[in-house]
Amino acid sequence: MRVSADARALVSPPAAFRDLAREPCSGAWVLMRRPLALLVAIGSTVSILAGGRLTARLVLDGAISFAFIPLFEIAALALVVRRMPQRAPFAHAVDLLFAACGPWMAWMLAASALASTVAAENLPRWTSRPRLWIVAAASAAAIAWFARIEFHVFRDGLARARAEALRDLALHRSIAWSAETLYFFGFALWPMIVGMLR
Amino acid sequence: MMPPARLAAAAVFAVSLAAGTLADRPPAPREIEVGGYRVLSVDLHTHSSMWSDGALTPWGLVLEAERQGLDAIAITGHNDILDGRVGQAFARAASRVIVLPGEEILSDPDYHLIAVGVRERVGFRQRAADAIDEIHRQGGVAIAAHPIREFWRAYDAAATARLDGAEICHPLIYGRQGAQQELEAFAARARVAAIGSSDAHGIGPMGLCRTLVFVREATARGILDALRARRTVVLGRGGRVYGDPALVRLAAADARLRAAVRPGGSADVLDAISRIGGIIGLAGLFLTFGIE
Repeated sequence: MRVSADARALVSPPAAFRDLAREPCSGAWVLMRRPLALLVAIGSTVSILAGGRLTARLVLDGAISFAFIPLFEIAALALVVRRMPQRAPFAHAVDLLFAACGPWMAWMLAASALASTVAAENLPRWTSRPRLWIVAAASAAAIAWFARIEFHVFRDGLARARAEALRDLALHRSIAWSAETLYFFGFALWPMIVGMLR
Repeated sequence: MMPPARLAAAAVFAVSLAAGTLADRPPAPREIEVGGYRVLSVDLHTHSSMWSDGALTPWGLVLEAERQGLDAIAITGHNDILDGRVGQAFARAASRVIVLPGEEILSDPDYHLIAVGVRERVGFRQRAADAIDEIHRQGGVAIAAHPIREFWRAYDAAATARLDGAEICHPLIYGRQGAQQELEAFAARARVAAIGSSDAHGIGPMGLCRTLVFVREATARGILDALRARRTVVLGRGGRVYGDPALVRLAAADARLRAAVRPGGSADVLDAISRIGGIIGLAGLFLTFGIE
């Protein structure tokens, strides 16, 4: 049975992104399709975690709440792609980038499955130690896995040399994750920063 | 033409979404009167996704509060009140839920303090006692947020004497050993209103812990007056009841109040279909994305 490039990228990212690169495409739909799919997945996870069910209301609300993630990812990618001498169509680059989100998809499916099987009052246990370490370890694994796949977005999808791909990855991650962290934690970060400086 | 596997995944996801949406109805509003007071089910500590690391928008919090059978919520942004104002404006236009703008003042690593009913942001770079004074100057009430042992040092005698309430039921009691005893020990230090709050960030249901507030009028002002007068009851974990002793006796005799503190729940068949089918459908869509 054939599976999506997104799923194949989990196991063999070089081959998956070389295949995707052979299908150059552009246009508004290509630009939006994978970011929108990611938002549907995020909204569904929010719906199951917050409401205990999949509802249109919560899926939409979760998608709106986390729309900043694809927006910042795309904005950061635009900055990285500008530095490339030979540019692929931007919509194609965005499509390749979001095909690397498989580890986060696995993380969200696991979180949804956990929330579906645990009683509501026991969910907070997963935000306190010792279970929090399991969540942290799973998140760290997703980050490492995602970084490995995203490296191949640049290396094999956008045909960058190894060192360039590493630089692109570092730059993209530092811009996108900094912006997303600042946005998400917002005002709460200030006392933390002040506390650390004291 | 969509391949059959992708079509099947899309159908499973769509059916799951439809099942969950059908089940997504708020309970009928209850008007409970006990001992001459109207009893409101209230969650005074919730976070939105507007710079406060929540998972729902301010208006999403209001709709979810309706779904969970809450009469009122405070939207308490981290060191900010903008999302509380947005939620309040939405609720006035489109919901029966009373929204009190609020703030969770984070003075890490010292204290976390809930300001309910304030008009402006309260600064975090001040002692707890001074922050509470500022909250009172703005007409709000001050509630110690999840005052487990690590926050006790910030609440000196001056701060404790000024507090209006302290959270005694908080999701921490389900996740952290000894948290219940620490919250009880803190509440025993001062004459404060017993508060149950969910600290909702989107993991677990809003209103998991909630406060029964005995009001003379079902308005934001009525709730603030009742909190200042310590007219609250919290039905906690394992059947424990906290609050004003006279009201606790009234609450114990009234079965309706037990129902009023139960979150909307997610136990029926449609919910189960929506959750399990949703996960299977999403996984299927991921595996078949873009296949022609």
